[in-house]
Amino acid sequence: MTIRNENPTAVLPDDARLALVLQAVDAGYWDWDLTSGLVTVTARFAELFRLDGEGARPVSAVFAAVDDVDLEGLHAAFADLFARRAERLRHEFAMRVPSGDPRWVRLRGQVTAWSPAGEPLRAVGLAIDVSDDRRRAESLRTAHKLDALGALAAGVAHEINTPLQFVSHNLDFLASQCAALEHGLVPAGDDDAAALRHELTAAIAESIDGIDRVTHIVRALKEFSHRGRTGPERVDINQMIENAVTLTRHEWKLVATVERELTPGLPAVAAAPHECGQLLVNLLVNAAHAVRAATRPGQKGRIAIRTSLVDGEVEIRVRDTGTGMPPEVVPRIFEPFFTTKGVGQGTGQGLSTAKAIVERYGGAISFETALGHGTTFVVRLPVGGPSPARR
Amino acid sequence: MSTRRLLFVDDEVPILRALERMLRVQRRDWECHFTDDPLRALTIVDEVQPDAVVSDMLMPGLDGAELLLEASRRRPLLARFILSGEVGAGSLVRMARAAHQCLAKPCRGDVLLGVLHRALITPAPDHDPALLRGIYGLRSLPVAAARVETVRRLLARPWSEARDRDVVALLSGTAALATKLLQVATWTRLGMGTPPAHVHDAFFQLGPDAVRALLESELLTPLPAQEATAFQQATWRRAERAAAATCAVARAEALSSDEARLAALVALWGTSAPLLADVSCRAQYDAARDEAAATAAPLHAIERRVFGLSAADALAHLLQLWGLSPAVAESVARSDDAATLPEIPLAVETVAHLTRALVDELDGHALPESTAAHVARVGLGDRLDAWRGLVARVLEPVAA
Repeated sequence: MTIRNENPTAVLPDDARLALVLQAVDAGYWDWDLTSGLVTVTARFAELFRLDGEGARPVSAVFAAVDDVDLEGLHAAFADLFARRAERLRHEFAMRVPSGDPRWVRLRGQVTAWSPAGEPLRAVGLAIDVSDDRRRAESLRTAHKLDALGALAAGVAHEINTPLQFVSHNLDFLASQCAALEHGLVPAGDDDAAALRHELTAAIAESIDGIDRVTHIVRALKEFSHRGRTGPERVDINQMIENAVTLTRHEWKLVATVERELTPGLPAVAAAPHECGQLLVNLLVNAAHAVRAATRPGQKGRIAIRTSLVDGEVEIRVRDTGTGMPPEVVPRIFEPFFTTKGVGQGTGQGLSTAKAIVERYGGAISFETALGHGTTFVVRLPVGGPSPARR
Repeated sequence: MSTRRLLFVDDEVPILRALERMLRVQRRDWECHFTDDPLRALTIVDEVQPDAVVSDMLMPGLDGAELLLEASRRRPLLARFILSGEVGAGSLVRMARAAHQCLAKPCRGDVLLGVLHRALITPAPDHDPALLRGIYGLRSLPVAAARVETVRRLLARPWSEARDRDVVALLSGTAALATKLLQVATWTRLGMGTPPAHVHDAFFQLGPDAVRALLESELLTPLPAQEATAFQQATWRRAERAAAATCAVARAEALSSDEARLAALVALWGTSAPLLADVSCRAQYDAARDEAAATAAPLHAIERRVFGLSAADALAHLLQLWGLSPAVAESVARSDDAATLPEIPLAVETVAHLTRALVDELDGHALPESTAAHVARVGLGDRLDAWRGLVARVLEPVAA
């Protein structure tokens, strides 16, 4: 059913105007009379909730229609509204649809009449299908993840190129010496022979060092990679920090020294390794950028990472001698897309992603900052996990 | 040949040690210095007066681009190279402004040795350093600002095959743009695969967006119309006509399209070489050209007498320093003088040389004797009229 009003200048009665607006924003309307327990809904609302047509029905019939993954959340949202803990209802939830992706519905509303005793009498509001917005946000998150990966990959490639360069030249040298040997060209003097022997030994030793450096980087990458398993595993935070320090070396090596004070024998943390890796990389990259902004060329700042067991939780402290944060920035740093860096330097996703990861595993993230002196991020993660150690 | 002096700068000491070992094979001819400190490197430049510097890009204190710019101020006749593991294109413009050539880590030892060898070969034993000093400081060949703007505007239009064809034609007729395009396309291959041989390949390898960014970058030094001399404008025009005519002649003689594009590039560079002598030693070069006009002596012979090397030799050297194919650079040097042309009728050098001479003939300059003699020697005499007709058809004659 489409409502039309062909005369563009006609003054409409309120009801008709409301109907037009609701149609324009594709919203369903609900009106809950708490005294009778009846909810009156429009056709669009009924469609969203897969109810049988518009009109009034008991509230239980509406809730019964919500075959939701998070029905408790919906009840809690209304409870907050009715107990005046929230002035307005704002709740999004997924409704299972018989076939296809879940439908995301956003409910907004307000109590419009209270009894003298403070009981809610009537609440009205809207229901909107926000599935498209959700999907867009999801693909944005994925795009950002790839973006961060790309930035890390460029640095990691640089770190691999250095050992490749000197291993390659050492092999050139060894090859030329082998060729000389075959042609019977050996150095004349004893001094030359001794020096050459020393160079040969050093060329081999340094090449092995170079191969070790590459191996180290590749191993760290492997431990960070998504192994296709879902759900948390038992993660050794100290090992993860070593990996993150290796993979971010390109970000900090010119501007900072990294100090580690890792308490040995920490209990494992239950988390997905790649998310844990991303958390640590984000904190380290953030620290490196802060230090870079605060350090004059040719000087180095410090990044200190400490782990310990505090109140049965693993605590990670990442302290930098960077710029610190001005007070107006402090409340916003975990907001998605909030960045103090110039265009092309930061996506504003690093810390909000870090926070999301920490909270997913029941942990907490906080920080202390002193403008001009630096910032310390403190992450707490609960120990243990659902599965026994597997390595 | 005297001992050449080289300086290598990298903050990773194992790289310096491995370079030192690899360079042992050169120790009779090259005196190599190494440092992991870019500030110390500047002191070494003052003390040792090296002929070439190879530097890493990302270093504490001073990055490779800053180091090379300062080093070139202290010692103008210095071949400058960046050897970097930087993968992103972000710092390419900065690197390319400071260095003659950017090499990507990991770079094979034989590749690096080849690059250094070519840079360190003195084009002529008793050359006038003024000419080389002038060209070592050049970021690009001189180019008209209006030409850069025309190509840039064309590239801003929505894509069509015709647009790309027009852009490639303009780039192929503009020596400064063709050179820079080939240079950057060669560097961004990161040492993998074969570098593009001509402008057409380079354009499609980089893609329109990168080419546009290049045109807007500081890698070019476009001259506004009021600053360009009459000689520069005439040379730009002559080079563009020579390149277009050479391509047409090469195709008519059934050379492959790759060979035809290569011949056009050789003609473009050969006719553009005087721009280098003009930029570096204007007064001397004006006198040399006056002498050539008055005595009918070949210009390259006068250039060799005055500067110790011809403008084409100087350009060939610069092209190698900029990392372009040594084979093409050699073709440019050989195509300038009929005496050094290969004894093969349809070699790209011969086609480029003869077509250039025919373009000049169309503009009122008689075919030089040495060129006519070469035509007879390789048996191209019966083709000459056909080529002459083709050149006239391709280009409208210039009103005197």
